[in-house]
Amino acid sequence: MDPIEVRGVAKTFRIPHAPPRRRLVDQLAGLFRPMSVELFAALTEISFQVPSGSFLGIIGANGSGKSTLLKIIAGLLTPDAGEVHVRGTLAPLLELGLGFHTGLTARENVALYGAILGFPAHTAAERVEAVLDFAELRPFADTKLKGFSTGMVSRLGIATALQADADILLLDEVLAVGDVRFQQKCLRTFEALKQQRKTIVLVSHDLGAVQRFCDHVLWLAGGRLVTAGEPRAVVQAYLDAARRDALNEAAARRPGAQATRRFGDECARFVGGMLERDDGTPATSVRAGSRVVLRLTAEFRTACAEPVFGFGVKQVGALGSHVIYTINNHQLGVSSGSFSPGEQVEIRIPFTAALMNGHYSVFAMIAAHSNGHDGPIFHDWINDLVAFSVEDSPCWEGLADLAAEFRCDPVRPRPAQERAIPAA
Amino acid sequence: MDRRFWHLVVQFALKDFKIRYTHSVLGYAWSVLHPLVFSIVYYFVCKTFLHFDAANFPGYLLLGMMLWAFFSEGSGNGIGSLLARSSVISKVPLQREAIVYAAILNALITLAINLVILGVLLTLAGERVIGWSLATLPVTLLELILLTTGIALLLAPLHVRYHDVGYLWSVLLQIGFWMTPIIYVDKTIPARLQWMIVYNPMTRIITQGREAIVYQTFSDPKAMLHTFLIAGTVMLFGSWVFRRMQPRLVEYL
Repeated sequence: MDPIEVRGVAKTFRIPHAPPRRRLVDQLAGLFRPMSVELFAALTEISFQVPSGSFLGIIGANGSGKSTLLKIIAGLLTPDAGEVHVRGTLAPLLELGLGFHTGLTARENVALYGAILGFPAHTAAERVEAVLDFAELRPFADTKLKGFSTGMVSRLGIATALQADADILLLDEVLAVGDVRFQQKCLRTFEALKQQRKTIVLVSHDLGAVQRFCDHVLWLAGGRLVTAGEPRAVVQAYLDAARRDALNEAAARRPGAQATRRFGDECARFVGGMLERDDGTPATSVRAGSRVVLRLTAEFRTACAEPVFGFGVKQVGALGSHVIYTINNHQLGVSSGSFSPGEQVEIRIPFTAALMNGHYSVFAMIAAHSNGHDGPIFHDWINDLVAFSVEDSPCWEGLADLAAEFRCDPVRPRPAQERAIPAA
Repeated sequence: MDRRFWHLVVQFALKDFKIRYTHSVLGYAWSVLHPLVFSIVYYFVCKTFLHFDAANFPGYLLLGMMLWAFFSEGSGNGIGSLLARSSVISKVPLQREAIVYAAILNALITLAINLVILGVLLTLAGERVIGWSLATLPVTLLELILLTTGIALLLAPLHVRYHDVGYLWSVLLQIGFWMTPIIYVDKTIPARLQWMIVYNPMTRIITQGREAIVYQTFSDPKAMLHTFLIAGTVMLFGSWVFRRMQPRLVEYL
């Protein structure tokens, strides 16, 4: 029989919408109104077993249900569905130093915390002494806790917890306590507990510790068990997923961050820019394959001969934006002319929105005519000058709508020997 | 209810008792000084200004005050005890009755100190304190403990859910104090209001206590049995409600 057996456990929290009806008066008034609660599924269909003498790690992002699961195993919360079987005595260390009071001495605090953790009454006094020795705080046994450093209090907490002498230990992020030497001492104790066939469940964000100590790892996400198995593999899968999420998040942020990006030496500047349909109405959403016109207005501050006007289109997606088209007047062999200070110019650029359904943004630039030796000198560059969306494309996937056409003509039957495909 | 459970109750009660007088120079002396000064003040107010009187009035008044103080402190602290230890409740699975019991035990320590002070005061005043009638005192005290614990067990989990319960109880305690013949003599109450004294279990308990200590007479065994049945029923009902509510306690915190 496994010491911990969890079968089909589910837990849903009912979160009342503000204001919470805690007071009796509100509750009475609430009898006549439908109760508005939000259901939060903290755990869904969780099943696993922990064999005797094994060290189980539970990993997952914040809010994935790790602590709820631990509390259900500890018997602090009742699951809505499923069964939990725990065989043996349990020491849940969800928080260290519970009930510690700064006005009491170290010995008094350990006596109380020990009682909370279930020290047997007849050996309680000896255990308190053992705790003081393990924590290396014997000289301060009768000092009030208010004189202790944070590290000393933590040491006292974990030393008491390790004396609990239960068959099953539930640990929630309590490994990182004290200095390196004291941590080593605690870790040796964990090893010893493993040797004694104690069962340990550890919830931690310290993936290094999880890989080092656990025999088996559960990965929770959104209250569901994503995968369970050998620590290295599960931790790797978890890290990969976390990296992917981080990339997506960064990509989602990017278009907005670039919207304000504009640079250039201001010898010439754009003073206007818009996208229009064929009939002159502003184009914020256009049909795939229709003709649109980008109209730019630029003003010159210094004299410029043959400046380069260019624009490009970027696709804006969940994975960031990428350039799908750029062009300038020189590439098309169009002369732009010469301009004197204060002069304005309007540039009309008709093009075909041969694009997939989606969101796009247009960037535009004015550059000095390159002599071919130096790099380009930008007078003005504006990212996300205008944004537009493309609709009504029949395509499902890809970058561009190439406006394909299909013709299906029946093929006239031919003599059998001319068949191109040989029989297998 | 094994030894481990009672060990926990004692540790909780000891902690509360110890931290009550931290940061004070006189320390534990306050637990004696406080009721002593309190008793003397009440005695003079009632005797000199209000002209209440009864046979052996100091004993009558002080014992009533002390038993009521236990009831009031024990039930009040017991009801608030679960919230006061919410971190322990939400992090460690323990028998949560222990927390309520500890509040009662703590009030019991105060009562014990008070009773010793009362004995000394009465002896100094030349009254006889030690006698055979004291043999009924443990039964009376047990009734008092059962009644107080029962109410605390009943209301403590409700208080976690609805904080109103605590405020409501403190109001009821105020009313109860004046509905119980503590600083007045029950004979002075008009006949049409006698019912509220007769059906009040605290009246029965305080009367039995006075008979045992102050008047050195034996209480009517039938009346004592009735009191015991009332207190026992409250205790059983309180425990039942507590056990019903405690699995969901963490979610209401």
